Amino acid sequence: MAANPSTTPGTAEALVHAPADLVADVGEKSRSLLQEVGSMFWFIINTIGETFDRMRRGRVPFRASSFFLYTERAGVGSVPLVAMVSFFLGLTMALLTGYQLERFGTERLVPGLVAIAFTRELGPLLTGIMLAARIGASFTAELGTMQVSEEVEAIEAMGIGPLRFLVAPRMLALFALMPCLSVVSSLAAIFATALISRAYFNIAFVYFQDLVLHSLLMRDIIMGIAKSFMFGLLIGAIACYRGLTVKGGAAGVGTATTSSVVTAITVVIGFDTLFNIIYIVFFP
Amino acid sequence: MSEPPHHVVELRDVQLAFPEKKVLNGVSLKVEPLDRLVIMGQSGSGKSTILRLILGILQPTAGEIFFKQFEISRLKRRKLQQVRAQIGMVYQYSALLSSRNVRDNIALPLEELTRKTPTEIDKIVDEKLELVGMLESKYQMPSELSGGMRKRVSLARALVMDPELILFDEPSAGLDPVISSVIDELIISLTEHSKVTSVIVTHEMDSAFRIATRMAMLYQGAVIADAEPEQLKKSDHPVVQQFLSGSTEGPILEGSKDAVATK
Repeated sequence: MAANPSTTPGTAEALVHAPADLVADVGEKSRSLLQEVGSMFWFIINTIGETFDRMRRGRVPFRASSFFLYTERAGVGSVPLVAMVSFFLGLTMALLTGYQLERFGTERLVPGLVAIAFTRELGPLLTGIMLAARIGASFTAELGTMQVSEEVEAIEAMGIGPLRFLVAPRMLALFALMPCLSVVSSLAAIFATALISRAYFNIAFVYFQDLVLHSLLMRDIIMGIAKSFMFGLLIGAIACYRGLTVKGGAAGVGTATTSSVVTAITVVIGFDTLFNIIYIVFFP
Repeated sequence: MSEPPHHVVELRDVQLAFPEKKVLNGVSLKVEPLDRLVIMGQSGSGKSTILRLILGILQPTAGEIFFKQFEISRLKRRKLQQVRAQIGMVYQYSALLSSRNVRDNIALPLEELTRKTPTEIDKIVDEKLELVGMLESKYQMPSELSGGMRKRVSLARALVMDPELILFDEPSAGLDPVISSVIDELIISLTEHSKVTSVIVTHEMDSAFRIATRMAMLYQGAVIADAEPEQLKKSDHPVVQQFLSGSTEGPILEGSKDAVATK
């Protein structure tokens, strides 16, 4: 809390001023939060604007090779991690829910439960968190290092739009790859559930497949995929924004990278909650 | 809006203030075609800031900055990018893209801003690398080059779009005296060969007098002297005299923290 500079902490005067200081502190933090949200919003708008501006002039906004480089790093490189974590989580979830449901003789519900949970909710959310940590951090550190070594300014000084050249391919790569990775996550978790169902609850693979297909609705799948697109865009935008606004050398890059991961994970979870509330209220 | 100038660059009463510090306090400068204007001044006096203002990377708090007929601070993003393509910049620490090799660094503006074919681009890159004597390092990464080599690659990159103006930020910084002289000679020969106007920011006096056709001295946010090198040497301004002699006695250190260190 920001203490009133004219008062000494612990004195009676400080205690009198404490509520006002608290309000001032909350106000200051809210102001900087809104400022940050506004800057991020303009950052996304400017990136899209610069990219479309280039396309209007009949030029490709960035090289395909650069886009594929990031999709390979962000997408293909993340498959083992996403698959492994989702597999173990699917395994645990199936085991825990199975043992509980078995008491009521309803262990047949396990395949559907895990399939719905992962396709609609956990797949996109887990993938978002993993990508924010793995790729968001890498994008922030990379762009932050370029920023402190004046590479970004050099690109700007040449007359090349840094948002189009540096940010757009990274954002698009995450936007396009997130749904694919969410599908990988859901498949890995469903596969793990199939193994557990067969081993502990005597549910044959063919029956398991039937149970999953009967319980899954198309709208669950579409909802999961729609969320994934948004998560990709948000993680890409936050990571690049934090990277390009680095100040203060190597320490600044470290701080920005931590902040990028924390912000991206928080925003992904917050956006997911908001999405669920809107979906349940308006499309029950 | 005032009338556009006939100079390559003109700064009219430019002021720049950051929340914590006033950097420029009414700088006026004119750069004629084919001039090699050296801007001198203490570290932190705002010399490099002037280059960033000319490029439109920073916006002045007040005043006007012209590059040819364009008033930089009033240009829209797209036009500003087109104007920047006519200006080359050599950074103090070269600012080569560390993930691209020498060839790709130099080719970048051509790939992004022109419609030239890869063969044409390669031809131009080879030509510029030949000019700076770096053709054999074409496929090396920036991390494999020495400071002087990086400066030369950076110079080749600045020349690749055949600019009308090149800005040099501390071209001799961090180089030994011999390599520093090589870079100075290169700047003179290339600017003469390519008929380019240049603005060089430095506080290294040997280098400044070797390169300059005109010199300006920046002190406390304003230009206190602007003359040809020989005339500047004869200036009786105490700040200019102290700066040129490198003496610790004089007005520059008065009241500054550095003055304490000299006692």
